[in-house]
Amino acid sequence: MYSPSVDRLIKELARLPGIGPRSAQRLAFHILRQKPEQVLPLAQAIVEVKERIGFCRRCFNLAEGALCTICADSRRDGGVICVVEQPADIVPVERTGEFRGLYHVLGGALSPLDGVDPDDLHINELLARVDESVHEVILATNPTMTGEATAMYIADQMPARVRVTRLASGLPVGGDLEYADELTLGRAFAGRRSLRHEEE
Amino acid sequence: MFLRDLKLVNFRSYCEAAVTFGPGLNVVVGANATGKTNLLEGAFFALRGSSPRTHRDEKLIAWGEGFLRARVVADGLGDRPQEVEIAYAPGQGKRMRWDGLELTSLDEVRSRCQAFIFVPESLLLVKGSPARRRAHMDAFAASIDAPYAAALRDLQAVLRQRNAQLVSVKNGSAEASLEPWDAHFARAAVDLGRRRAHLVADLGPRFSGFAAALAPADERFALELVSQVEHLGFDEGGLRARLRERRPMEVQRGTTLLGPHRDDVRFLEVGGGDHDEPGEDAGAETLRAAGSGSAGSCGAVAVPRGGRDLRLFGSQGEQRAAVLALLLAEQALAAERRGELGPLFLDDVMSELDDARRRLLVATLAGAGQVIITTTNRRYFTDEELAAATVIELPLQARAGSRRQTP
Repeated sequence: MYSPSVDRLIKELARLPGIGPRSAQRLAFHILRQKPEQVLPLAQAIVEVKERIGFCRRCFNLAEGALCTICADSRRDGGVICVVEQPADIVPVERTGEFRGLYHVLGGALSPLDGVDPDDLHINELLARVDESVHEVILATNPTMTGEATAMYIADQMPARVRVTRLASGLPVGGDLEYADELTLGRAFAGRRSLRHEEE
Repeated sequence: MFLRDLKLVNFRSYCEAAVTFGPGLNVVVGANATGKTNLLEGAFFALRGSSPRTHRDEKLIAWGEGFLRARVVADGLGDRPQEVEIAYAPGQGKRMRWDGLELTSLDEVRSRCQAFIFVPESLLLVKGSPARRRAHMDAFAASIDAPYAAALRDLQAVLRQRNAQLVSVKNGSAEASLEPWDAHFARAAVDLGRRRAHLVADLGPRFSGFAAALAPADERFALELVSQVEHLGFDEGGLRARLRERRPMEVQRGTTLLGPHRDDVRFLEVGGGDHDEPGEDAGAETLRAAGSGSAGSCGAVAVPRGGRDLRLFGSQGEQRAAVLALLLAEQALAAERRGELGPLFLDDVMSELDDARRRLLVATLAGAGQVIITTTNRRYFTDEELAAATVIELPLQARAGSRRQTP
């Protein structure tokens, strides 16, 4: 219907997540109306990010260079590794300000239905990283069926001297008991804590 | 709760039909091919959004039409009558409305009210495959117990993953990759297994009670869960050990061979009172515990193991009685949990019963809230029974006067 280059732009935009054919068409016409200096920076940014950003060779986070900013930061505690599924999962953990250790990005979760085996994730690289200096591995995969299975698999592979922990699941802070779904509330019950100091 | 007004549009043989039911017993009388079964099916559809006779909803639409609509006005839910409407058009899915409010899923409709139906196909509950019995039990339990529904979904999801992993191991993946799925599967299997055992233990005494009420002689029926997980004592570790034993065969077949997805429920005739047998096991224990423990209103029956399986050895009449007793037990259990009796739809149950059994059935139904029952012959009921009932004659008259009350 359109000239081939406009058609191609629409098709490429439609491949982005959350963009349907109609939105892609709207964006394409917006780009066509703009002056070159207004839209070419977008094209350059895409080229630049794909040329310069790769994966950290230690933790598989996004990195500009061989190591990501976290792995390159000497103030971080190398004795604790937090394992996440995707690079995007690092952002919310960092925002808490609670964690000063290093990360390891698996690149997904075990899911036989989708053909994801242990070999498809960066699990061997994680095991290779866990040397004498590491005393704790925190498994922060998603609390989904595939995330839990991944955590369980990794926990089984860890050397016995390393402390292996899993993030707690339960009620959101500031939330209302009335609105909690039964699954979350059930987990919260199973993971309840004593308010008094008890001996372990 | 009872259905007051039913309106069907383009449903099976009905272009448009309106019927008014009464509380208590309703008798729908009509010759063959006057639409008795379709009327019951339509009323059931309006409350559940599905038919017990077919999974293909497009078959429910009147010949040559593009959509169907079923609407009921239900009394006794809350402080005023509630209007429930379900419409369906192929390609557009179903639209559910409850008192004018659009609902997004059928589960929302189903969790708000119960309905129980007997059609000739219901006999397959006894005669048919274990899968059919499991599906029936699961659907019932899920509609009265949200955690049961969640446990069922969890088991189905982990089963799909584990089966895929078994295929992947068969094709060369390391066996260690099965471990996390074994662990999750064992947990989900024990969780669902326990819930199913509770369900059968809750239904069992009620089932036996209703079966006894429907039988003129001293017949005793029992319900028994056949479950590997229960046999292993609901022990996750034990189940995982058994899974490891079976692993070579599971890998070879690429499917999970142990678990609640292979459970069955047996309908047993356990003979008269002194027909006890020695030998105890988990299944009998559960039922006996349920008999003494739960507050069943229908008289608990201690169940010796190894009665006569009605699937293999039951007569037509016994199989029919077993299905009716199961439906009545479900209705009673749902009422106890939710505080109201859902309507009971019975299609042509009188014709194959002898007169003594007919009287027992009508007497038993007196406590079952609203019952809508079809028949070809009003003489299956006594004059007193008809006088107390709402009688609806088919075919329906063209004008609004579709209901006829006996004088």
